[in-house]
Amino acid sequence: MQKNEGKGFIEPVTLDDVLKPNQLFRHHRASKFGHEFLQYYSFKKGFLNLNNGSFGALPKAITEAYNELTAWQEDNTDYYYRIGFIPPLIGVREQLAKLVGASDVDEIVMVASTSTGMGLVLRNFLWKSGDIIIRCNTTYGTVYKTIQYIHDTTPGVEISQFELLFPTTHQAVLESRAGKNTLTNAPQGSKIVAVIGSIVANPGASMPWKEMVKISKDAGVWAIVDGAHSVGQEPLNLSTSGADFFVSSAHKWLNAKRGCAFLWFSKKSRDIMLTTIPTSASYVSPGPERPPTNIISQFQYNGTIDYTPYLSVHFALQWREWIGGEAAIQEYCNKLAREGGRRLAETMSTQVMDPEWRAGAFGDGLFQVNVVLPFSKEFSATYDASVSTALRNKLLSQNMFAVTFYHRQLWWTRVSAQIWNEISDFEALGRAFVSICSDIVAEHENAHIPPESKAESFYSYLEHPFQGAVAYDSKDGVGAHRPVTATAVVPVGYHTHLASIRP
Amino acid sequence: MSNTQSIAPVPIDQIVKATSILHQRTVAPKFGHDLLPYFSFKRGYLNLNNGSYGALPKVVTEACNELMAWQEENTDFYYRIGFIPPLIGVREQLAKLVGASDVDELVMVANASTGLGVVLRNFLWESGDVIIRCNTTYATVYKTIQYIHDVTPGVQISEFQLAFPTTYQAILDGWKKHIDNVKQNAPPSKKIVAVIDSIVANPAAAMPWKEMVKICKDAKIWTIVDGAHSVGQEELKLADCGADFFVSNCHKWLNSKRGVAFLWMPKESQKIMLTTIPTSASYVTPGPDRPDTNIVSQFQYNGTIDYTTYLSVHVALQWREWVGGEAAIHAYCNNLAKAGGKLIAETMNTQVMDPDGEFTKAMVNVTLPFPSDFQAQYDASVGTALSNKLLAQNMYAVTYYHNNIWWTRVSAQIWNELDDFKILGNALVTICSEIVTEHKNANVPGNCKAASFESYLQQPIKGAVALDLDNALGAPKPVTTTKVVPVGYHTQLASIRP
Repeated sequence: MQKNEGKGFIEPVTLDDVLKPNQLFRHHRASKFGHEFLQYYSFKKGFLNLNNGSFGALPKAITEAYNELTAWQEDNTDYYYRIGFIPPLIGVREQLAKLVGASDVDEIVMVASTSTGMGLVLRNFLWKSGDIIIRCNTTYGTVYKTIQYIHDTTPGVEISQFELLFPTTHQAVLESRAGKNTLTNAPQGSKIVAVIGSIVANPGASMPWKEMVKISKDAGVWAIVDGAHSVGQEPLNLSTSGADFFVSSAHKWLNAKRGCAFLWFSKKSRDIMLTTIPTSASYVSPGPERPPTNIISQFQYNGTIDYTPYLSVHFALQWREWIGGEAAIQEYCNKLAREGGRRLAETMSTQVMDPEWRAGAFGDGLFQVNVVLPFSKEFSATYDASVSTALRNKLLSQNMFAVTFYHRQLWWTRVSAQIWNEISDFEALGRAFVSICSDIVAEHENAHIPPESKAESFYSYLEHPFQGAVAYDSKDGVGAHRPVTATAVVPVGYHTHLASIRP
Repeated sequence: MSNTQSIAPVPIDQIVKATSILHQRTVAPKFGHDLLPYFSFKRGYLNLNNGSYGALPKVVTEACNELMAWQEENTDFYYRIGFIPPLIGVREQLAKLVGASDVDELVMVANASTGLGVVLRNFLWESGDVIIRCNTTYATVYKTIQYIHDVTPGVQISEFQLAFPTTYQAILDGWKKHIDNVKQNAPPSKKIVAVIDSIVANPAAAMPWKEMVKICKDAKIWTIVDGAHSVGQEELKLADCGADFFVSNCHKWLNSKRGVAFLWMPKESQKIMLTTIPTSASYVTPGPDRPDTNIVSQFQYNGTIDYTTYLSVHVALQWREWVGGEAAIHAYCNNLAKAGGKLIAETMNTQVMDPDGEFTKAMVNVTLPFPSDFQAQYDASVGTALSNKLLAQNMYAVTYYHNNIWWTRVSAQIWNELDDFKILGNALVTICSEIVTEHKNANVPGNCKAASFESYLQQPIKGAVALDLDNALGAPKPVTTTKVVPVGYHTQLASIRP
């Protein structure tokens, strides 16, 4: 390190010192959002990306920053892990704390993903018989199953499931939330913990989560908010939200490198947090000797990972500032989601889930819109995982993607509007769906669908998703499960099922 | 706008072009300084600490950049189809390398701490259960066991004391006694789980772990082997080893990108493994409907991460093959560790911990030149000062306190030569003498000191980060990126990295 040679001590460095200033930011950016912005991203030529929601997308500028941060890590790895990464990491936490309205940097820690953060919080509660966990049918798969696991392994822990059926309205959701059988039946001395989605994944739907939190808190219920889609999509003010915990992915809508998320907890909630997972070397047993900030120390280092995704947030925020700022991004994407959804529905002759976007009532996700797919009612009567796979494969084969999902006996698509998208993208998607859906209906008649593909609802399918390591089978769609090696390239067939479920 | 696109899975060799450089040169440079250009250390940096974090060859760095570009081309393809066959391929390659009997005995995790943590957390702990650890158990694992004990009433910890220098015979005799004792005193129907290091971190000591495992198995005790340092440093034949679980880091001695490790769990052990952490969407409630391979499915995807680190193993193995192959690498590092250890000891006028080499693979331990009254107890400020002063001289080797002595642990790697050890030795002579002098006049906070490192670990010095030029009394203060504060003598960092 040039800076430190001969000095006898080591100086921590700021990220802006480590990296050369990005040349990109010296230039004027493209004047308006839309296809002109594609130049700043790394999509394969012609790929129509209408699914920012699942995994986000990394601007080229952040990729460059990432590569330099990695080089810094390799320069002198001992310096990096023993000293170097710490002040920049605290700096990122401070920046995020400011962005999301936390009242202190020590209310925010970094985690690998929302699933990780939610799992950590749920696993830190000391569960006992009589406790109740509230989830929804729409709770994201990893969180849904974490709750399942806790129930399965802790005798007497109950799950209380709240059914969300879309389309609906904010009012309807809040009113039914208010009928609290769950709360009145809880045994004395038990705790009730509710997991509330700020923005549901499937369908993409923004929830009246602050009101739901308030209702929960008034009833003495812990509120853990799964805010995976929130940061970068909606303004946040967590210190006034009333929630006990809030987790959000920075790699979805905030342009940070996968996988990067933050976990926010109020000072009071911090007392629940005994340990990171894995437990840090700096863990201190609970008791009078343990400082209240011990969990913060633990989160700083608990095993060797690549901190670069966390540090990339610093550059992601610079990027968002340069391209126009949070408000401009929000305005463009929200407007495009609405108009795009309308055009998409017209193209397919179907409907948008919430056509009127009624202000103050229940509506679609802010930058995301849900539209019914052109299948007949009979075809959609039950869930069929093979249809899901076929939709996915056929979209990818056409060099495009949007999420498709099954809800309430209808097949839907969830489309993300991003700053590189324009209205014509929605039209192209609609035309593609028309032919894809009609292909699927025709093929499905003659295909051998394994019975385990079918279920009454996606949620019941999730109880026993299709098993086996990986099944890639070009010839026989009946899915004889066979492991596949990297050396044999096997085409993905119609009935391909992958072991992991990604709703 | 629509154009047809193949969604056939792609092997890594089709995606990564960086490794072509390996195929172009027919002969790799010989081991030693000639290999330094293939790594990314800042010019002049003397790296004698491969053991803590490993080092990424440039070729693997470039391959990772290509893998990440692939990830961004069509991220939906990548996460829904693309990464899976390459990941299975990596698992197959590792399974072969470590002598597992089937690919589905081996899954990938972020690092050894994570792997050991997920195993320990999958046991359903009950009052009366016993967990056996050592004083030398790596701190994240040590504390995981502490946590389980703290939150599960009636779970006991039984700690086996290791004091180096010692011999295999002494360890095995002591271990047998310890196991017999635990077994006698444990409630009959309760489980006993032992965590055994294959190679201890501090001191660096290759243990008679297979024999220790056997002693446990004969007593019907579960064995979880912390093999963090093993893969790439020693040959492994896991199918025959008798252990129930084995975890090893690929980014330490196997040249893969941080952080990646594997968890090996033979079929019988998988019955313990109910869930990944976080729990995967493909989790199925235990019962007759749950397939035996469910845990393997869960490990495939349980939240969005960057799989590049896992996939980098494929390229790392190609690199190692090109540079000379496992056997040649192990032999070079082992010989250099032994010769280098002797040379450092001569230079500093101290001793090697393990002169016979029974415990030595690619790392060697040598006592530091401190007066014996100076080392009567552990002092964290000395640990920090050693670390800082080494870094300030553009070099690094681990230093640690064990058995009332300060030691250095030095890693021998294929870029090192004997001379490096001499340079380190000379530097340490100066550094230690400076520390003894400075320590006399420094205001060292009371909570820096403890009878042993292990007792210090119970309550390491607290606070988020303390970087304080003026007030050496170490009032911990948070630091922002906007303020660059020099790291002083008494710097204490909140996290402990032994």
